[in-house]
Amino acid sequence: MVALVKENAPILIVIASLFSAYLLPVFMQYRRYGIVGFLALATQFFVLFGGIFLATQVLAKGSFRYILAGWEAPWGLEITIDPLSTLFLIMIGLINLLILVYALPSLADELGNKVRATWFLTLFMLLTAALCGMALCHDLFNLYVFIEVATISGCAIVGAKGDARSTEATFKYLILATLGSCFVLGGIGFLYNLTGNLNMLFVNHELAQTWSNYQYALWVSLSFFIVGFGIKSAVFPLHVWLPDAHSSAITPASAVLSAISVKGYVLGLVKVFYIAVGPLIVASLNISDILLLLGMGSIIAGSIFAIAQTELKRRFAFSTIAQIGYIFLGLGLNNQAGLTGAFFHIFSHALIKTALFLIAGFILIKTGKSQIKDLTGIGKQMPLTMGAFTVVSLGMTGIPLFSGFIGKWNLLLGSLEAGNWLAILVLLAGSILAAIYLFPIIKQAYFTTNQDYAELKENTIMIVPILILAGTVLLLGIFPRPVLTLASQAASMLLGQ
Amino acid sequence: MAKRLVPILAMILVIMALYVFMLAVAELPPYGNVDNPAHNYVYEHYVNNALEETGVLNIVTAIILDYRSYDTLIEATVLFTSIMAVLITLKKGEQH
Amino acid sequence: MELTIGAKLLNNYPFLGSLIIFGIGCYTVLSNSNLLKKLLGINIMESSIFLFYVATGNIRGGVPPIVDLAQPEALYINPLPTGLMLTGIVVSISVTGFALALIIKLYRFYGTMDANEIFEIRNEGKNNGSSS
Repeated sequence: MVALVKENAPILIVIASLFSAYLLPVFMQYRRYGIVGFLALATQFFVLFGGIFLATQVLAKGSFRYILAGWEAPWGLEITIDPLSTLFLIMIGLINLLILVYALPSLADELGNKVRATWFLTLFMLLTAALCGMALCHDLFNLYVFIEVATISGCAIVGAKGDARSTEATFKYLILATLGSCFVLGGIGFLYNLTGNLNMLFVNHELAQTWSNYQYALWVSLSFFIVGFGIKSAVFPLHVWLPDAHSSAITPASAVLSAISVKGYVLGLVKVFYIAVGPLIVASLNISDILLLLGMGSIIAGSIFAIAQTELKRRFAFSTIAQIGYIFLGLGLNNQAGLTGAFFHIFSHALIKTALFLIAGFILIKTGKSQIKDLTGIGKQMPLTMGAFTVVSLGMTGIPLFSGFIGKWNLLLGSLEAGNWLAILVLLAGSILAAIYLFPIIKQAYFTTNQDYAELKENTIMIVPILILAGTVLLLGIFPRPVLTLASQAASMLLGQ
Repeated sequence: MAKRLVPILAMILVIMALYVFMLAVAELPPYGNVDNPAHNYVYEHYVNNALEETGVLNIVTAIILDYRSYDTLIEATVLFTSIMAVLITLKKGEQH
Repeated sequence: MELTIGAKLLNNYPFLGSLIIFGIGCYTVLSNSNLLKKLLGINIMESSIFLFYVATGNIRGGVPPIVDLAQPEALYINPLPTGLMLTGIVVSISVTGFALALIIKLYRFYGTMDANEIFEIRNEGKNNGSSS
C-alpha cells in the first residue's frame, strides 16, 4: 500500500485534491461538517508532504516523468516531476494549509452558513488541484484545461462573499481571465499547427529544427501567450481586474489568489517559454525584452499605485502587481541568476503576501477597520500581529536576513551579469517604493496612540498561521539553502535544454 | 468623452493585431496539405493503431477516452467547478 | 515554388478567417459596455479558436476519422484537434453558464446590465456615504 502510494505519488497529489473536492458536498449533504474541514486540511497536508517527498526524490535522482494511462509520451499524456514543479507543490501545500487553519474557524460566519462554507471549500480544493496539475503537467493542452479549472474556481471564490462589489469584481475578472484563456488556447493552436505535437518536450524538438521558417507565426504565438498569461497573472498594463478582485474577496480567497494563483499562471508561462519553446528561440525573437519591459513597468507602476491607496487590502493588492513585476524581470533576464531569483521570489512572496492578507483580515475581524488611517496605535493593542507585520514588511523591502533579500539579491546579480543598468535601478527603486508604501503603516501603528479600542485579545487559533508565516520569512532569510537549491536547479534545468 | 474613445482605441488595436496575424497566417503550412507538420507521427499512430490498441472504431473517441483520458477527467471537473460556482453565486444555502 | 503573400493568404483562408473572427470577438469584448454583449464577444472568440483548430486538423480529400473496415486505404483527417475541441466546447459552456449566473446577480443588485451605468450607480453610492 505504502509502496503503491510512493510509486504513484505524482498523480495522487492531483487526484487526491480532486476527489476531496468531489467528496466535500457529499459530506455536507449528510451534515458532517467536521469531516468536511478535516478532509480539506488532510488533503493540504498530503499535498505538502507529497511535494516534500517528491523534492527529496528529485534532489537525489534528478527529475523524472510519470506516464499516465499507460500510453507513451507523444500519444498519451505524461506529467513531469522536476525541481520547479516540486517547489510549486511545496508552496501550494504550505500556503493553503496555513490559510485553511486561519479560515476554518470563521468561514461559516463570514459566508453566512455552513453550506456556503462547504461550497467555498470545494472551490478552494478545486483551485488547489488545478494549481498542482499546472505545476506537474507536461502537455500544452493539459495545461490549458487546468488553467480553466483554476480560472473558474478562482473567480468563484472571489464572488463567494455575495455582495454587489465582489460580484462586479468577479464578473470583470471572469471576462478578462476568459479573454486570457482564449489567447492561451490560440497560442497553443499555433504551436500545434507548426509542430504537430502537444507534449512540451516534443514541441521543443520539432521547433529546434524548423523554427526559422516560421518566425512571424512563432512570434504571434508567443505574444498570444504573453497577453494570455499576462492578463491572468496581472502584469502592469493588463492588471485592471486584480485590485478589485483581490480587495473585495474574503480574506482566505484574496490570500490564496494573490499568493499562489497568480503565480500559477507565471509558471504556465515559464513552462511554455522555457520547456516547450526553449530559451534560445525566446531570446532570439526578442520576447525576453518584452518580458523585461513588462516586469519593470509593473514594479514601478504597481508600487506607485500602491502608495496612492487608502485601504489596507487594496494597497496589498497593488503591491502584488509590483511583486509579479520582479518575477517577470527575472524571467526576462534569461540567465541563471535571474531565473533563480525569480523562482526564489515566487516562494518568498507567496509567504509574505499570504501573511499580509491574513493580517489585514485579522485586523478587520478584531477591530472592524479596513482604512489605513484608522489603524493608529494598533501596535500596542495587537503586538503579535503587528510584530509579524513588521517582519514581513522588512521581508518585502528586501532587507538582509529576511527571505525577500535572497530573491532580490539574485535578481540583482542577474541584472549585473546581463549588464542591464536600467533593471538594477528599477530593482533598487522598487525596494524603496515598497518601503514607502509599507513603513508608514508600521510607524502609525507604533508611534501614535489611540484610546478607542477596548482590550483586544489575540489568543485565537487565527494568529498561529500568521506567526508561522512570519517565522518562515525570517528562517528562509537566514537558511535559504533548501528552497534556493530547488530554485537554482530549476533555473539550470530550464536553461540547460 | 473617454467612453467614446474606448471603441476607437479598441478598433485601432484590433486592426494592428490583424495586420500581424496576416503575416503569421501567410507563414503557416498550407491548409489541407497531407505533408503539413501537424499530420506527423502522432497523427499516423492514432490513425493506424487506434483500432488495435483500444478497440474503438471512432478515433476521436479513442483519443478523448483512452489516450488523453486525463484531459477528459479534468474536463468533467471544469463542469463540476462551474456548477459549484453557479451554486455559490445564486444560492443562499441553508437558512437558519 | 514561391508563392506571393496574397496567394498564401488565399490558400490559408480558414486560418485568416478564424483570426479575423477572433479580432471581431476581441473588439466586441473591449468596446461594448453591455455585459451580455461582452459575454457574446468571448463566445465569438472561443468559436474562432475552435475553427482554427479544426482547420488545422483538416486534410483535403480526407474522410472523417471513423475506421471503415471496408476501406483500409482511406485517408482520414487528423482526429486530435477535433478531440481537443470537444474539451474546448465544454470549457466554453462552463464559463458561459457561470458568467450568465453573475449577470443575473448583478441585474438583481443594480437593475441594469450596462457596465457604465453600474459604474455610475456605484459612484453615487460612494458619494452619498452609503457604499453597498
